[in-house]
Amino acid sequence: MGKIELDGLTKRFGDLVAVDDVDASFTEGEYTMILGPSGSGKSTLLRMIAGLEAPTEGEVRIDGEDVTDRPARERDLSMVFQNLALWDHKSVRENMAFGLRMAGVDADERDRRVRETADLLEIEDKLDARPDQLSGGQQQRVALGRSLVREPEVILFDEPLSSLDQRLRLRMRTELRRIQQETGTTFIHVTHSQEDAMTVADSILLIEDGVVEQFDRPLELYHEPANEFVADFIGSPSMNLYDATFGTAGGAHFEVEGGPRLDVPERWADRFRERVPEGPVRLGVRPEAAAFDGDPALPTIDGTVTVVETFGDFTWYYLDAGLGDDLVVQSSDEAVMNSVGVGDSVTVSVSPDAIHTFDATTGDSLGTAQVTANRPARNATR
Amino acid sequence: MSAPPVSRSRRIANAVRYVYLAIVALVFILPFYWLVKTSLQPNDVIYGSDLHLVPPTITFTHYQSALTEVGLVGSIVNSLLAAVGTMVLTTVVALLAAYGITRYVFPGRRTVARLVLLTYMFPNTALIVPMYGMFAAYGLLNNPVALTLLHSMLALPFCLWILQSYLESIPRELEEAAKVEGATEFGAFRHVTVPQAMPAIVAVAILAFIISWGEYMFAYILTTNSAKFTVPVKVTQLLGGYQVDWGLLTAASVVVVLPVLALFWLMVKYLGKGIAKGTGAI
Amino acid sequence: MSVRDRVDAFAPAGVDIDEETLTGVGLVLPAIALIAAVLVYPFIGAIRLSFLNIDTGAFVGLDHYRWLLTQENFWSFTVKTLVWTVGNLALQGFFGVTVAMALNRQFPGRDGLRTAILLPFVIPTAVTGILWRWMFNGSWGPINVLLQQELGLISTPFTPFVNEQFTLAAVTFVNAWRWVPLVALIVFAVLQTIPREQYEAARIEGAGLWSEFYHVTYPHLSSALSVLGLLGFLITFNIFDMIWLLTNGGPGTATTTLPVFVYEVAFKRQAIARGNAISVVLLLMLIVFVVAFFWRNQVLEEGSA
Repeated sequence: MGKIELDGLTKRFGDLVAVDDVDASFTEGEYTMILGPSGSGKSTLLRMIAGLEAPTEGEVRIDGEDVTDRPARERDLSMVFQNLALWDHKSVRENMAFGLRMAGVDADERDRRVRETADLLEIEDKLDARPDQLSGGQQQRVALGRSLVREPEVILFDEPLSSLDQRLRLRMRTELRRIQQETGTTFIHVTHSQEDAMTVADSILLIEDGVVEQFDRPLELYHEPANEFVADFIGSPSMNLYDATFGTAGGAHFEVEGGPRLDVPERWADRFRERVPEGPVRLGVRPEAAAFDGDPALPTIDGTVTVVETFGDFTWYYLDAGLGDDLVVQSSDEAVMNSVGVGDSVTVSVSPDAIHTFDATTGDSLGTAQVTANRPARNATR
Repeated sequence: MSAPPVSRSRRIANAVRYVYLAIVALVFILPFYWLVKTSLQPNDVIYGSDLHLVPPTITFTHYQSALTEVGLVGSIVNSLLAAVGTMVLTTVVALLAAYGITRYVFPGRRTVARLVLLTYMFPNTALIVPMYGMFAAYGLLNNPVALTLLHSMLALPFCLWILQSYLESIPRELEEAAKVEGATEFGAFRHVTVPQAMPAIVAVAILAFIISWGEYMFAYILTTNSAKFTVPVKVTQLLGGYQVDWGLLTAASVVVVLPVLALFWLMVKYLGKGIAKGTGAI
Repeated sequence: MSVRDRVDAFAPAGVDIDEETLTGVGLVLPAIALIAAVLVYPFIGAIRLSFLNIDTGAFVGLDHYRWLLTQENFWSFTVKTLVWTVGNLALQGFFGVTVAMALNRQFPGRDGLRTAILLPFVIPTAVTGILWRWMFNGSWGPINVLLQQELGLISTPFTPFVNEQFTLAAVTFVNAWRWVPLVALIVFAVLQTIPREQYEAARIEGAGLWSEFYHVTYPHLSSALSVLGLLGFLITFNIFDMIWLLTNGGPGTATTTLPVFVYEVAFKRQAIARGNAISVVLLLMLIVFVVAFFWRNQVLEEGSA
């Protein structure tokens, strides 16, 4: 119960296409995040699922039933809005009981369920207060409680964490995860924060310009991005991306524009030759994948440290390697963090396992050289 | 809350501000005070040659006459009927229209919003003749229904403007949340929109009342039976002729103004933000 | 909701008769019906009448209009109306804005004061008329008693409502007195929406009082003032009762603005069709004004784009 399917869902505003032919199947009982930058269409997509926006084309199905023409109140779901949309002319209790009241549940039952949910969210002592008398965190809980009390199959979240300060955000993020797991409700959560998505979600639907770029488990998006956009969006700091030319003369190699030539050791050469066409290509390396230890067998890049950002247990080094954009390298090696500083000339090595390649024109992934480890498989839709 | 240090020119400006406001307050309030004062003074003081800031003696004879001799009470009832009718009709119609304009998309939406304000372009004097003819034909002269319709027409554009602005400022999500929780369109309107818009609704209702209560021209034209006169018409009648009884006139005026003031004070007490928030978003 | 707003900009090409459209139109219908029935329909009747001879019912075409435009009075009345309107707007604008600005700072009793000064507006115009005629009453009115008897500043009573030289100014002042509080309230509401930080930022950059007004206050106000100006012009131009209650259009024709003229012609002289003709011309004048107003705004917008 709580299985949502989208079939060719499209939303147009005149000439503007906000959502473009989206097919997706949300697994019931899972926490799925719809992730994307501003203007990507993620909120519009959510609102179409909710029934607040009518699609221009396509179908929305809940548990197999076509609900596309049904208004919001006839779909068994609930929604938490970005600004919470709590009614300040009603008490917390009345806010939470509203849905039950609309459903015709009698007063005693309503009261009981409201109290139960309030207990779960630890706001049972605030039931008679007005929302504007509560703190931000408490208001969040009320909004969540209002949605939970009806025990819907699906709860939709429209960027509920965006306006919270950092600490509260992290707390609520975990709280949401906990509640989702305890209740088993399908959560569909729209966010622009890839960090939130990576840490919490069971699945991530990454959307840009109304088009689904990838819909997969977080680790799949991280390790096997379907295209350059995904590779760039996921991960912090972003993947280092450069124009390069792939050649096979004298062994498989990449000539990075403006910079070094990276020779691919024999062990990996075949895999590259299979997938990567000769000629221009986009090359990507995650900061965490470059290392300072300089294994001579691996391709290396030389550079000068320009900026150092330390976080305590790991540090980001920005290297000027003549590539145009700085090469960002992350290290959690204490020895490195104690010795390397601004102005130093360093050499970093990159394992071909961690070299991502993308088609220079379409941005599609040409795959990585890495052998797919045993991770729970998931169909990518694109 | 201590103020930050201010320059000398600002301090002068502040002093000017307070002086200016004092003068303004005087100019706006003093005449009315004088009206009340005059109504309480016996005739020898009124027609005397001395000016008194505080009345030396107080008498209620003028009020007695006003309330009993000239049919003022009857006119108050007439005005009340029209004003309450206007209040109800205008508020309901304006609220529905404002809700339609701000929450729904339909062709001609923006035109309607603007056009309504432009009705103030019409010279009302042009209407008095056709209106007289129309209502006479329907037998609606000397009838508060006629005045209700007319006064509502006068009040509607402005009231609609206020409600529209206020409703704009209420986030759509509040209603959407209600709909997701199972409310129908009307349910969302009833449980969310109306309570949230209450300050503006009250402001508009009272504004409509005040506009109706004070309306002179149409009330004058459309009531031929003196027993059906509304308050402004009645009171102006007393002004006619050579010998004007100023005591009586001012007392009658005060009586006429009191209900408006009472309502007005009520409204202000209930809200300060109603009109403020409503007209802020232009 | 920016998405919602975009729908307006990209309105669908074909008319989509769906539930939303129906509901929206239905909600707006009562208001439109009221205006149509009580304003538009009778006015159309008035227009029709203006082409007829009332007594015979015959169609006389533009006769009444010709009569009107050849009356030398008509042009002087038009000028009077313009003077009346512009004078009102100037006074209401200046005092409305300055009072609103003066109120734009918290001090004890500020809110009470802001409410109390609305008094002139909520009082019925009939009472306002009475009030000011009493204030300036030649024999016993407080102002004359003060100036003449107590202070000895003038020798004869100052009665602006019966003195041709002053009447137009006098009624203008009274009308402005009535409306300034409302203008001030509306402008005040707009001023309240200006974020305090903008003033503070200006102050840090060294702005004095005048700069503050010019760079922070005025830009926020200008669009509101524009709307108020338009509405104010329309409403003021059409005012009948305030003038009538104070002076009956006199003395003579000193304060006969066009609306007053309409009343006189239609009711006093019983020349209803002619009265309607004047009204139609009045309306046409205002339509021209409105069109010019929007056209000017359009030009300004395009110029600054």
